[in-house]
Amino acid sequence: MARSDDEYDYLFKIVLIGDSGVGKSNLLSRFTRNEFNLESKSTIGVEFATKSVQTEGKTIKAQIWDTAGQERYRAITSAYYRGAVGALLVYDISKKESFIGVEKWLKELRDHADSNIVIMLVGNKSDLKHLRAVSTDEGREFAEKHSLSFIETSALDATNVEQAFTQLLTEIYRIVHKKALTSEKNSSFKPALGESVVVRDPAEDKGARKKKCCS
Amino acid sequence: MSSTADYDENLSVSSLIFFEPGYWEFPQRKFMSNHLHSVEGDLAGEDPYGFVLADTLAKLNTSEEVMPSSYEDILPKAPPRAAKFPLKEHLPSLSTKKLDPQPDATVRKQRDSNGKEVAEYKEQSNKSDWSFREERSSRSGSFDTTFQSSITPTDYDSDDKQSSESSSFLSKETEAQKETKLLLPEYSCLKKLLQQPVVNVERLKQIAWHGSPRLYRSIIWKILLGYWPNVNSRRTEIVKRKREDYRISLSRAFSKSHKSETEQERLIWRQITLDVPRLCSDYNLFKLPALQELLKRVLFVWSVRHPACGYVQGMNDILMPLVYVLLSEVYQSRNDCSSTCFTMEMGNVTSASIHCVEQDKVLSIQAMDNLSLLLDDVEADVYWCFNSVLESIQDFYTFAQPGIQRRIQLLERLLGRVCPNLYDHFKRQGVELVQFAFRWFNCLLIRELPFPVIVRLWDSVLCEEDGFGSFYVFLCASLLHFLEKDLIKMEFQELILFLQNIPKDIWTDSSVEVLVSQAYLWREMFAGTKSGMTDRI
Repeated sequence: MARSDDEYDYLFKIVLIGDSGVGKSNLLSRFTRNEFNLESKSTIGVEFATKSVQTEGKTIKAQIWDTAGQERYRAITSAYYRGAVGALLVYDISKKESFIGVEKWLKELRDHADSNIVIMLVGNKSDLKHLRAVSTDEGREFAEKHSLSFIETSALDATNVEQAFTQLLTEIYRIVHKKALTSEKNSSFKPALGESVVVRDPAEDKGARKKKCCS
Repeated sequence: MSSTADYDENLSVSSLIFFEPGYWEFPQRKFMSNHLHSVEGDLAGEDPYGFVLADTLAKLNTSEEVMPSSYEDILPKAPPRAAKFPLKEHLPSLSTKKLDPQPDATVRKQRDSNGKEVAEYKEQSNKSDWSFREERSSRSGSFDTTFQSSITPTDYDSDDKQSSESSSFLSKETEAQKETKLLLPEYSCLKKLLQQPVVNVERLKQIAWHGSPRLYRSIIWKILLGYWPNVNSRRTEIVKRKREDYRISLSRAFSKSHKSETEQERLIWRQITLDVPRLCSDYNLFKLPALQELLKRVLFVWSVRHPACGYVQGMNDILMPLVYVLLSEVYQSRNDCSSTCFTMEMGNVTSASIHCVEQDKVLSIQAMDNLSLLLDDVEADVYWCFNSVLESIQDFYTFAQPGIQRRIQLLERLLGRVCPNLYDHFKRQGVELVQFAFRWFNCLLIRELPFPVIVRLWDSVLCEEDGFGSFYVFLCASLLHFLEKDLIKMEFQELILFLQNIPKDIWTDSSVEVLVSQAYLWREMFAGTKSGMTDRI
């Protein structure tokens, strides 16, 4: 299902998380619509967008859930972690506090998301060079320590935004692909052409599909 | 069917509580909705009344020529307002005419050129039939101030009023008379009603439900929100006390936050200062620095006084209609406008209301210079009105936001009953209501509908018992019903994108009337009967 309007080989569910005001919604709008709004409204609960990218000869459709950063929304947003295969954990390089908050977000993911979720740490607002409060090295070190991918982006001038999403999606694709090959060898499971959708639309039975997630 | 008596009784009891002096100081004494919280009885199994009504209604919806009398047959004991719905403009015509046949394209178009969209919307409004909306400018000036002199506790306009009244008393008097003649009987009656020593709130609700004339909107809202007592003689004193109360809270909140602020308060202030500037309204009014400071203070004081809720993103949106309505009153009384600003909506008052808000100068003012002296009082008034809006829906904002979750469950059950096709479609597509309706409730639809539409909706919502906590569920169902024809054709992704960005150019006065009337009918059907259906939809 859901293949009528556009064709894709894989559908990955991604979540965008991080403190309030770090630029999650703008990263998403830059990626999906190439738009940036300095005064974009605060996200309430969860907002949704999609975009397809080409990687390694495959079309991957990203179903991205942009979550509200405020603490009070944690209960509602954490429900969206379920079934997500990737997460962009965003902080603001000009706000130390948002970098400190990364630890707390990792815990959130550990508590509510699939244990195999691929996480990318994103230091956003790299255009604010004169206000930088978190160095690139600090970010990278933290990412290495927790085995996360790492990138610095600027939604404002579009630096690395496309790369961040594509890199995450490619990483997920490789894992999934590898797993699919392994499972092909080990079992009779063989996805039919065009049916190798990893994360189904929520319309599908969620519980039953979890096995197919990447590892 | 004997329930109508109960219903009326409830209304009067609730209004007694609602207008009790001192009520606002004790949030814990908040009025619990009969419909949502304390309904007894289980008619869910049989429920013949609801089904019969639903069937009849479905038939009516498919028929283009509906006579008002049919509705009277269905709801024989409904309040008089039920018979006055604009039935000629019925639902089928709306979605087909106004909605883009390719909603996805609409959504994209909106995103790509927001400014353009607004322009188109305005153009469309102008094209509509506003023949009665002539620029009857200056006469309202005297009308307004004269009116204010009799009922407003504020003294800010006394000087202006006297001079203007004495200078051109005669000519303005005749214009006021002219205006009264042009008004529908109901609306000239509104003026009399508000000047009574004791305002008959039930009667006021019956009239204001159809849309408040802009001239009286602020007064009506303040009365309906319970900020102004319905006894005119007590008004000055009570409002003075309330404003003083706010000022004390304000100084306490801020002295505390500067010296020994708690961690929670620090976070609240940080979040508020982050959110208020990105209110991102299309209107200049909300971008004015003085007004943004006002919003921040009101939000902070409220959050500090309600620690269980604190500040939750989206509360700033809820302040917008209140600030606009309260400020426009002050603005009107201070400015000798010669434009449409003073236009008293004539004839079919409700039909003009959206357009009038859209055209209101207040929304585009560039500076608050001549208002700044009055902003203190407005700030206190906004605070108390905001407080009474949130009073009944505090559980929307407490930990894990149980109030919203519960309303979404109610909405889902209601949808299953009133729009079974759409309900099934959502199920098939894997759409969960929480994915879009969460924001609907969290921001009381303010993010979803154009601002003038919200102001008009609130006219009705404020007349409803537990309007924000209960009536809004029906309003959301009505909105989905309104969009059903388009939604039913969409798949998961398109559905979510559409419902998170409902096109804003589909609204006219008559479509809003249908929206709110449909909500009213369902409310009467399921909740007003007091048969416990809201809990059992």
